[in-house]
Amino acid sequence: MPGTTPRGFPYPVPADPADVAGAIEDLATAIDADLATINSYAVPRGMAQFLGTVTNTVPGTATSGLLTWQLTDFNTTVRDVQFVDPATQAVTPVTGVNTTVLLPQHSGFWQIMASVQLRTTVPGLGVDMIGVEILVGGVVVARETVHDTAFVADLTHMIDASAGVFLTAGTAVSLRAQVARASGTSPVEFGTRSITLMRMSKP
Amino acid sequence: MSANTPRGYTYPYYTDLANAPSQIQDLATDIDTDHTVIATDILDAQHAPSVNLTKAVIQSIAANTNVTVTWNTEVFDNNSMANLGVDNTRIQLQTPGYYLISGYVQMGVAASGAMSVTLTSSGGVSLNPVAMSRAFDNDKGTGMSWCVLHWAPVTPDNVTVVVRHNGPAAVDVQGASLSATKVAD
Repeated sequence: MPGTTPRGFPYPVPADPADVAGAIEDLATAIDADLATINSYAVPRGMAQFLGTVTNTVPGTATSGLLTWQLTDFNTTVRDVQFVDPATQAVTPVTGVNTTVLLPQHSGFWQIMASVQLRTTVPGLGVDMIGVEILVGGVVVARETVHDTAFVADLTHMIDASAGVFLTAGTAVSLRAQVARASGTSPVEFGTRSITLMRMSKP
Repeated sequence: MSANTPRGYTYPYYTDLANAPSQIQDLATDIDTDHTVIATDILDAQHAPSVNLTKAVIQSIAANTNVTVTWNTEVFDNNSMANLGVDNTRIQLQTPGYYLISGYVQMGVAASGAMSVTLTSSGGVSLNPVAMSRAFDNDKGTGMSWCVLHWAPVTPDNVTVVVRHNGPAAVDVQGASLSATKVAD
C-alpha cells in the first residue's frame, strides 16, 4: 500500500513489493494530473472596451439618456476554469448600433472606466450642467459633472467616471448622460466615447 | 548524499545507497510542496484584494477646510480592508502592492466657488490630488470621479478621501463611493 503526499502523489513504502519503475510511473502520472489542475487555475483576465461613435443627443425635453455603443475594441475570451468551462467573452457582445446595456458574463470585482468627448453647446443656451453616470443594475456608482457650459460648438470637452464594483454575471452596466438647464430647451450632444470593463478578481 | 534541482526537488546520486521508497517519497514531497506554492500564488492572483464603500448619509463640508469623507456601507470587501464600526473614514490596505483606487463624490450646490478631491495615505502619500477641480453651480450639484494607481509598500496603509471647497458656506456631500483593488505585488 503506497503512501501519498497531501496533494495525492504516491510513493512506495518499504513493505511494498519492489517496483521502482512502476512507482515512478505512478508518481509521474499523478504529477501530470496535478499540473493540469493547477494550469486550469491560470485563466486570462476578463476585460472589454467598447466605443460609441454615433453622436447621442439629449433632447431639450429630457435631462438624461443612456449612451449607445457601436464598436468593440476588445472583448477577451474567458473561462472561469481553464479547459473545463466553455469559453465566453468577458462581456456579452455588442450588436447593432443602439446597444445601451453591457452585460459582463463573469461574476467578480470589476473596474469600470468611461470617458466621453462632449459635443459642446454654445453660450447662452441655458445649459448649466452636463455629466455622465456609470449605472450598475440601474444604480449610480460613479458620477462626474461639469458646469463649464460656456463652450464653443466643438468637441473640446472631456468628462470621465470610474468605479470599482462587485458584479454578478449578467448585471447591467450602462453609461448615462446628464443634462440640467437653468432655462430653455437646448439639446446637448455627446460625442465619441469609450467604456472599459476589467475583471479584477474572481468572486 | 543527495542533491536538489533548482526548485528544490531532491534526487539521489548514482553512487548513493539505493533506497527507492525513501528517495521517491522525498521527491514526491518536494514536488507536492512546490505545486502547492504555485497553485496558491495563481489562486491568490485571481482573488485580488478588493473593497467598495458607499455613502448615503449627508455630510456637511465647511468652507476652506480639508474634511475627510465618512462612509456608511461596506458593499464588498474580500480582504478586511474596511471596518466601519471601528473607523468609518478609511479603507486599510492589508497587503503590500499596487492598488487601483477609484470613486466619486457628489456635492450639493453653492453660489460660487469650486471643489477638489484628494487622497491621503498613512504610508506617506499625503493629499495626493486625484480629480480635476470643478466649479460649483448655484442650483445644480457637482460630481467628481477619479481613478488613480497607488503604491502601498508597507501595510497596513490607511487611505482616506478628503474634500475641500471654497464656497461661501458649507456644502453637503450627497453621495460618494470609494473602491480599491490590488493590481500587482
